Amino acid sequence: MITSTSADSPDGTTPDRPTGGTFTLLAHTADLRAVLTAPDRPALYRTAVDFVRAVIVGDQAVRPVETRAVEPEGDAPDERFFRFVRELFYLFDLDGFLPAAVEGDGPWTVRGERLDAARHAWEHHVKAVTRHAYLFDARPDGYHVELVLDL
Amino acid sequence: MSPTPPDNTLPTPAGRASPYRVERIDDWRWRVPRQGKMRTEGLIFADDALMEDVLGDEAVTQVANVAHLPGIVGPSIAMPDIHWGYGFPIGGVAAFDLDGGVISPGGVGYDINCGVRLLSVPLGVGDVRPRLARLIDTLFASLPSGVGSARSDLRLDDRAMNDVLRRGARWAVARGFGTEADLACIEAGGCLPDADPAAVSKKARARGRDQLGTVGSGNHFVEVGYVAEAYDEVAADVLGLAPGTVTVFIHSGSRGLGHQVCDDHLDRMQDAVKRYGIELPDKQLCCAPLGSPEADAYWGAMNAAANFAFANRQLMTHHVRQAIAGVFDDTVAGATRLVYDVAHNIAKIEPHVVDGRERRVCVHRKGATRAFPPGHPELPERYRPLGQPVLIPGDMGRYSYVLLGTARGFDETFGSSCHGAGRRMSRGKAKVLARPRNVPAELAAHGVLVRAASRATVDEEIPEAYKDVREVVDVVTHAGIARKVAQLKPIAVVKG
Repeated sequence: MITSTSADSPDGTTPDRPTGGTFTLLAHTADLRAVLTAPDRPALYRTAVDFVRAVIVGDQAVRPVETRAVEPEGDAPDERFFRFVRELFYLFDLDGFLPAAVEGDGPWTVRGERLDAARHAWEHHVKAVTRHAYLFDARPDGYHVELVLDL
Repeated sequence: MSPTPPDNTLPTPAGRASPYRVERIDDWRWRVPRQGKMRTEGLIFADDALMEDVLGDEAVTQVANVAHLPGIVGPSIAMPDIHWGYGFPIGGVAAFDLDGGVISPGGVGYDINCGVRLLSVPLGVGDVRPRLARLIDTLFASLPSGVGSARSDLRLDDRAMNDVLRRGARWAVARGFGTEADLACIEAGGCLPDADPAAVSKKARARGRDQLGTVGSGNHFVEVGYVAEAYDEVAADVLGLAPGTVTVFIHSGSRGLGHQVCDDHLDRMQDAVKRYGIELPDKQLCCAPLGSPEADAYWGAMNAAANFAFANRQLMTHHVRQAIAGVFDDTVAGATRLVYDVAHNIAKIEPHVVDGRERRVCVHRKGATRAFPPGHPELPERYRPLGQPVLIPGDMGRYSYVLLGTARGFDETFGSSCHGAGRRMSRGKAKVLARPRNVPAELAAHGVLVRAASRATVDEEIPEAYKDVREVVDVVTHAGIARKVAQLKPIAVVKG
């Protein structure tokens, strides 16, 4: 089990500004289950970026030297968040884009860089973000999200 | 939503994960009786030991969940390699009436037409051993494997992509990547006619454009082995699998393209479920009535993705033959024969006898292999007297099997059998177990060379992470839903 306090820094390499969110990665039979928490919505999206990066390359540094625009899809907050996470994995699958930070509140600007084989070693290849047991719980004191990733 | 267990639920035999009651039918079969809102019962093939594994996760609940879907005919079936999946269990088979039934992307899986292909090489294992390292290094170099594997020598533009999606393995053979004889030994001739390239999104195309002819990651592989034992020598001879013959197993699917097709249509079907008022115990089971616009769109896209997978395995076969030509000679490569190619993640419309009358039903096989009986018209003429070859890879350290479909299996399981060993350990746990070890060295000491893009892949795929495939195969053969022809043993593996 990996539990991490999510962090988001201006240059994406040295965490110095905690998002306030956390993510936990748990083993599943063949795959990976994740639990994300955050005090508010911007923190949840920042935590999602850190979670996706951690799944793909662990704690290796990623520089915010390129941007990708992510449009909101879906009507409800749970669906919008699900599709945002899925899009981050899609961007990596498409051309190796690793997310470092996110700005905006839908549409989002995701900053990061393409995987550099000299500096980054892949930890997991996520084939899909599944809807199985997907939980998006918005509470007065923050967000609690559970996701299962197909590896 | 979570399934609502009925009030009179009895614990499973071990009293563990599932709220659904399970009853023994015989030594190889278990029933999940109709409970709560189940529309039919569940039928699980397993012996006592495998059932212990089954009861340890959510697989029984998933068998029961599938039994909730509208229009299901016959039982919700699970093979002995069943394990927890997304919505449908892996190792699940379910058939739906064309009138009132549904199609579900979760019943096919993310890797549409993930499947297995077996080649027979006209060499004995003793001929290959001296050049084995060179052969596996050549295969490793010519077949991109691992996370994000892509080809730099083949990138499909939109027109070529449409051709691949429409024609599958036929597209590859028309370009010189194989022969007509290959096509005869592929399920459906390597080309599903209902493919609709227009139903495949730009995103899916983008993911697949440079992935044709690649292994991929996870449990995908290319494995060189040999026939260690023939249980039916006549059948083994017909299949080109005489004892000692060298073989090549290819396990791959539709890569990122198929995953994206599944994702795209899961989104559409989330809405369809609401529109058609379908009550589901698990969101991942989302589906649409057969004949609806949503079902038609998925059907066209799924068949197109399946064709992409057939073309992928055909391209890989071409590169295997090229490697054999380089290490041995053109004659050996040219005589390397495709034994069979069969999907284990797919939905097909097939005629089956249900309740005493023949009906066309939509059979979902997710981690389950089609296993048609002797005499079936869809089999290649050469194999028709035998039944369909059923290819069952095991883990990379032990053995694999070639089976044949049976009449009993056709009647009882909609012509389906198991698809592999089935995972019993999480990837994380396998990695922890492998961390202090040198797994490639251990396998080499047992006569199996391994090449992989990363250590992590090999560690995650250690033999102990899987059930013993012999136990799985014993169940389907004792139950009579398939019969054994040959056991293959690995000597070199390229891991995805």
